[in-house]
Amino acid sequence: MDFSTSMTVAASGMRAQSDRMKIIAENIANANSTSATATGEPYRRQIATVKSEFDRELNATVVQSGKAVDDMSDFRLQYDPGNPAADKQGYVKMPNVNSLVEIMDMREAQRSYEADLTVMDASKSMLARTVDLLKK
Amino acid sequence: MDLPAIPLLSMLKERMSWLNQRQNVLSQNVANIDTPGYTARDLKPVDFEKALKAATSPGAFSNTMTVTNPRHIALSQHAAGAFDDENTPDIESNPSGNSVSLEQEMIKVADTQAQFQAATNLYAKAIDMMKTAIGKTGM
Repeated sequence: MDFSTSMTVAASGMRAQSDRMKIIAENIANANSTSATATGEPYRRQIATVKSEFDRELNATVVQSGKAVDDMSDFRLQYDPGNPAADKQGYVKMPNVNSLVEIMDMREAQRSYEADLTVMDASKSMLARTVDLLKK
Repeated sequence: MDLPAIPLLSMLKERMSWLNQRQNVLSQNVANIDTPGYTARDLKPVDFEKALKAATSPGAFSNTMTVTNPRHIALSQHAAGAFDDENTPDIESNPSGNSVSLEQEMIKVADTQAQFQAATNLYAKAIDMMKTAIGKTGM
């Protein structure tokens, strides 16, 4: 009986999801971070990546968070001539963060995290059942 | 007499290790729910009838190799993790090529848990019955 494998795999999933949450939080926190100058770039949205990896020790496929990649989509333009970061036409480059997308991503991460937690709970109760056989 | 030699208990043990391994496979599916290109896996179901016949046939106890010297090492019948698994893509597959359906995996996890519970309860019952047979009533 080896339930620690399934619990370790579920924990790897939870770690990957919380890393993803961190990146989503960075995006939301920086949704209005403009550059200080007209030539500079504002905050660029990060995209969290995950990759599966075979763990020889566990003999199972665990999941790991990969390097966050930049979202290369266009920046939003906002008309604000008084801003020091405004260009000649008076437009300021705003980060390419769409809060709706971020909220959706967040819900997805939350849901996956809960699923991992459910699996871990199930494994734990199965392990407890096996240990309970000793009481008989 | 050692307990695993009793067909019922050995079958339950087999069942429990199958369920345990299935839980491992399911946890991999759930952990990789957001991994692009990941295909859901599941264990191949064990043929119950065949297992029952193997466990209850008269030769069931002698299916280990005969040794000429008690110090010879017996071949273990089952290495750990001997059950086969297969790709079982769930119904839907999202644009990133991931075919794990969260709902389906949750059902499988709950199912595995319930079946494991049944197996452990049966195991405890069998031990209880044996205790009754040897005259130790009550636990």
